[in-house]
Amino acid sequence: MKILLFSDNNENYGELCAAAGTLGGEITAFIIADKNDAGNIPVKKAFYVEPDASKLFENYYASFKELVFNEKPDVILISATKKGRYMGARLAAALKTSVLTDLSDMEADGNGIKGAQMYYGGAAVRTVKSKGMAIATLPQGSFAPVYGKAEDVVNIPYKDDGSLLKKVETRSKAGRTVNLVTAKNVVCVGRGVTQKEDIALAEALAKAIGGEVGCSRPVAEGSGFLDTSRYIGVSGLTLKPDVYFAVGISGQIQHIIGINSARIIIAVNKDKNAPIFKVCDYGIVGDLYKVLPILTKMFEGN
Amino acid sequence: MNILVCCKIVYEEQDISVLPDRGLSYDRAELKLSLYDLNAVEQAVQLSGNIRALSIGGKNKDNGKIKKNLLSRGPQELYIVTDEALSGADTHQTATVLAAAAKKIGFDLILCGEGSADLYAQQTGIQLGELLGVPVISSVSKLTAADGKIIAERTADDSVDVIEAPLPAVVCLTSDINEPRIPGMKDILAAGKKPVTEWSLADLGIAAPEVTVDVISILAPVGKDRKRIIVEGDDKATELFDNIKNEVRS
Repeated sequence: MKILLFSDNNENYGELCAAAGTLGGEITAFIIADKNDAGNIPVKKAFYVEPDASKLFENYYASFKELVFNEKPDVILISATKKGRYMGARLAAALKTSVLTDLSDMEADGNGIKGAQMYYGGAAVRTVKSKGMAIATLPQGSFAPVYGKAEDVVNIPYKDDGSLLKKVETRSKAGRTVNLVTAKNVVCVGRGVTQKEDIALAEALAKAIGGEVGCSRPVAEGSGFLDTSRYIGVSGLTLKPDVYFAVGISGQIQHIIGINSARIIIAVNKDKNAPIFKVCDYGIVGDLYKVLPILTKMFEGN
Repeated sequence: MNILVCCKIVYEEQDISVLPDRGLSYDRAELKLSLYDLNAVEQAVQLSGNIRALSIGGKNKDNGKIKKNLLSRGPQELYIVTDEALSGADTHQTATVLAAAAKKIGFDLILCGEGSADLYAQQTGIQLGELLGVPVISSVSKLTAADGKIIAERTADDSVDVIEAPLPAVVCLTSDINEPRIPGMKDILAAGKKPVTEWSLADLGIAAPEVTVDVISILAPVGKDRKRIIVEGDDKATELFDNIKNEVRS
């Protein structure tokens, strides 16, 4: 099996290599990086195109596409970032196929792959199999990264993509973004939190237990209290924290599935009939405004 | 400016029930517009122009209530392509049919939601752009259009790129780009009089696109067994702490 890897984030190649390793076969990679960085991924061949700050990420699509058409891999694995999805989708259209998005439990199936996807935000798991050339996006945090050197690095020239997309400027994103997938502990706030100031209560608890704050969709969206990188549920973000605090979260099925892999779930909710109490390890029926400060103080002193 | 908005009709996820064999039942599930597409409709209205909505799907997606709901949100007319072969269509099939319909209708700008409520694959709009051979930008959280070009802010990971592209183009919008308006009584009444064009695949002059993903099963997940040690009352916070202090490791 010939496998080609791609990520817009060079730190993700270690994980992609680990994923590809489970399939077995000849592993190559396409990377937007200089020669040195391209040499630092453990693949048979790293095809690199030199980065150019005046270019948009999208502009590298043509180089990627040409490589795929030349190399004809059986399987293409892409990390499931926004940019990775974009690259996968355009390539899939050019190849008249679909991407197996956010694939988990991936395994080889003949010359293709099969695996599982969340359906309706986690109400169900859909098991799918590729037909023809397989393209999959893989969520982060599923494989322990492997490190090493590329056996061979090959420079490929930048190819004008003709897409007419032009960069006007790049700004860093306002508000701190966070990678909840890799957070050890997570404090997640839901609709029970009514004011922006109240997020501070959750932040204090998160700090006391060495965790990050996440939120359910209504909180991030309707109110703009928190950055969208902190959404949990629906977006397909699956967390595997050690401890997960559900604060003011009722526990809709979609949300629960997103946290199914947490080792311990602790719920704080004033509604004793909230479904979250059926799927938690520990819980308190109480007012988060009273309970959170007490817990924070006790963890700080612990 | 001719704006075409693509909308997916999905099941209300709250109404989907799980059968004893872990399969899903949609028997009691109402249909609705995929939440993320409402932002695309709203953005079209804010950009203003000749706004048309387009939806494709299986025969069951031909639903009067939804058509009216969609038109009450601002589009001047609706095109709907239904065919049994499109029931459970994969993203390649969907994008192929959308592309054929879009070519027939004509467009300067196509707007799509970032993903759909069922799979949230975030693929179809991008595939559509590639199939049409026009510039495509995804993850757009701000969009303006003037003088035959668009300026889009594409947010990805930790940075925002401001991107310029000539029309025609396809743009996929994130759900934080706007707050979709709630249609008023006047909008709802007017929606009933707006034209709806119903097409089959034959009307588009295409055969059913090939299935590109083998779906083996769709099953409700098996939940983990949890301890469920619950205390009641604000005064029990210290008791909760005693229960969890050895479980929480920073």
